[in-house]
Amino acid sequence: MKLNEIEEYYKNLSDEQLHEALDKDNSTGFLTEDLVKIVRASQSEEGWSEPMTGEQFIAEMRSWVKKDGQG
Amino acid sequence: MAKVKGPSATPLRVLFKRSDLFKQNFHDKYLDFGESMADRIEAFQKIKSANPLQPFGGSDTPFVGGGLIKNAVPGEVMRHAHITQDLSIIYSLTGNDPKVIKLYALMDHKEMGTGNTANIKMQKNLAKKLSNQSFS
Repeated sequence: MKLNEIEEYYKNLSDEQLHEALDKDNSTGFLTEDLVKIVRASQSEEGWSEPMTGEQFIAEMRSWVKKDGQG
Repeated sequence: MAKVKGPSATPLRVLFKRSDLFKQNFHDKYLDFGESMADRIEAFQKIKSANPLQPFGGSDTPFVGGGLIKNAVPGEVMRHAHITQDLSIIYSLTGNDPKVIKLYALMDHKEMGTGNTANIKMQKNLAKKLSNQSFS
């Protein structure tokens, strides 16, 4: 199977099917439901920030705390 | 800024992309880990900005035993590095110049021996071994 066909195959699985597939071979040390979220994040450009420098990323991350008044 | 090998030592641009999942995880974990977690993420950023190939401590490795992850996320090598003893940053390196570090998530390690088929098998094997032992 070609790379793009493999990609399409996993994209077309429901969350339940993907969970089942990953759970068969999960000795990663992480929960399978977390792996499902990672795979879903990898499958879309939506839900990602624009590329930024390290300093910009840290500034953004620190702003999350300030905005929420946490800490 | 990182430099590639060679006589010209051209500066290599290193950029970061973070997922919404990463942001959500940060909010959730900040309640437990607080500022020390943010400081560790900043330390990760500094090391990777200087040299994206330099491991962030000894735990910075590709996923072990995640055969299906390799298939499900084609073209990317998923890695994880400990931010705290129990918390890992999940990321991948893509591209060459710029080298883009994709920050996927901040996730806990599950408790040993629970949660999935492989570990359930491990528990059963361990239980079998223990049941065959004799104690005096």
